[in-house]
Amino acid sequence: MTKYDQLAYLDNAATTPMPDSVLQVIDNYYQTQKVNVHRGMYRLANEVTQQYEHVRQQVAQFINAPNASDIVFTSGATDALNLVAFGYGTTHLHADDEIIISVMEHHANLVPWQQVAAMTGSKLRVVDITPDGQIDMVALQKLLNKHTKIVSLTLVSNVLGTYTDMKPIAEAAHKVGAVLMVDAAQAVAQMAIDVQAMGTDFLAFSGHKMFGPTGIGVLYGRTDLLADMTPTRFGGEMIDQVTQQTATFQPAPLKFEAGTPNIAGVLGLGAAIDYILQIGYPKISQIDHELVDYLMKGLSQITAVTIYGSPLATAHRAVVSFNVGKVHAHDVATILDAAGVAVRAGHHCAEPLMTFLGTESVVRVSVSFENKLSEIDQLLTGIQQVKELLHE
Amino acid sequence: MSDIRQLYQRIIVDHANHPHHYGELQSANFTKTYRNPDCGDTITVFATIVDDEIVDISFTGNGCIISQASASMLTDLLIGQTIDVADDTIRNFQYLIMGQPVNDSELGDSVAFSTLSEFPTRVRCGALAWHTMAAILNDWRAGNG
Repeated sequence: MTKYDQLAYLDNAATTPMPDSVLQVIDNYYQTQKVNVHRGMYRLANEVTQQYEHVRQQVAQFINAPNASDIVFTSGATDALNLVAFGYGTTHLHADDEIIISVMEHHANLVPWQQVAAMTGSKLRVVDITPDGQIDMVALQKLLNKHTKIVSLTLVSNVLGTYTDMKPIAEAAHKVGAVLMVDAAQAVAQMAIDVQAMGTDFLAFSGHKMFGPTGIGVLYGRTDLLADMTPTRFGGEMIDQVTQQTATFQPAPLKFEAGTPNIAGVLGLGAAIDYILQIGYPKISQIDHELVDYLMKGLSQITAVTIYGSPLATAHRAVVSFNVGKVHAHDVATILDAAGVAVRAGHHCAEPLMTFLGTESVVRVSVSFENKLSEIDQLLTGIQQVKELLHE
Repeated sequence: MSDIRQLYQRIIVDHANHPHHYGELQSANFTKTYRNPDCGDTITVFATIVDDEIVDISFTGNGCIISQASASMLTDLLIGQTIDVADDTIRNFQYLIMGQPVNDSELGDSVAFSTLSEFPTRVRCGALAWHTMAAILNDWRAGNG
């Protein structure tokens, strides 16, 4: 397991540590198996290709996708969201069409849509959240109309920790003829994901937020939608036949995977899935909840602390954001760092949400089941020190 | 790492909580806004420069204690200085926050930032107002070159 030297690591929403099993798979690939996939005639190349494609099946099972070919390997959730924005959005959106996102989206689920809206003449609609950090379902219903073509929402907010039940949203979106894209980057380490039960058309997540390596992510797409999508990157491996002037492409998912993929990343992702399933989501969410409950009880006893989103611990999936009086989040984080506690502070790639919350920045604590209650204690002691130093 | 109390010493916290020369300057003939995209901290510096003398300075903005205190100290130091002296002071402050040896006799309260270099993620906060002021002096030079 990744060891953070003398540091209570409470920034798991940024990236999680990696267990030995993941580190070993990556190390083994680079030490003894470093061959390319999908092209070698020798046995080792075939073996690694099979391992690579096995992970695709593993991912499909992991999120209950109907087919392994519905799984596209990307460099991360940002890359997957961009692939849908530019591979689907640019060809399916026209002037007067509408895209709906929420005010609590990460910039990765906002900026690509801004770009695509500008390119296609479509409009970006932003649904607000309620004071306790939930998508405003009444407002969402009002925004949905026959012009709505894409609804793209986060499953768990990276700032508020809010979980959104996507099933009714998928139904409402489908009713007006729109597709639903779900950003599961923050959710995937906390809860089992079932794309069919959810009824989503697309779903994105990253490996490095679920105990896997950086540089690998997944796009799930409904079979017919992936078939209907245009590749956004071109080159080797994604083609069917090439002449001097023309090229035809492989079917999905390979048509989206131009060039040598992140093979070690894919293998590491497979090991990360094994790791999560071995521990089991019930245990993971139970520990996450105990940590969040303890954290929120502790925070609520410190005067001057404002918690954003719901006051209920159960509404925060491993993520709690707060401020200490009027102290800037970066000052809080620097003092906590000196106390040996790593947290994130800033706008968390969610500037519209900061504006909505009426602040410029927040301090974010994000736990994983690897954390200990003593690390939360260390954080709470650090916050007392913030108050003492800065007279809040 | 230096003791955290060195970074958040009284004089820095006081400047941040009660900034000097805060607000818009009506007489300003130079204005510049800089923003640190990492954190969103924003500083606008207003300066009234007559001939080669900085007659008055003020600032507005929001952000962390480090960026606000540093802006407040800048105004104290540079009001009434000539462009040449201001250039020199800005350069000295930048050396100071990078942890390089510096003649600190002209740096006033801002010598409190002598340990900032030990908090590398915060050096940019301390430098924000000073970069903004340096850009104003460049604008002045462009108009008087």
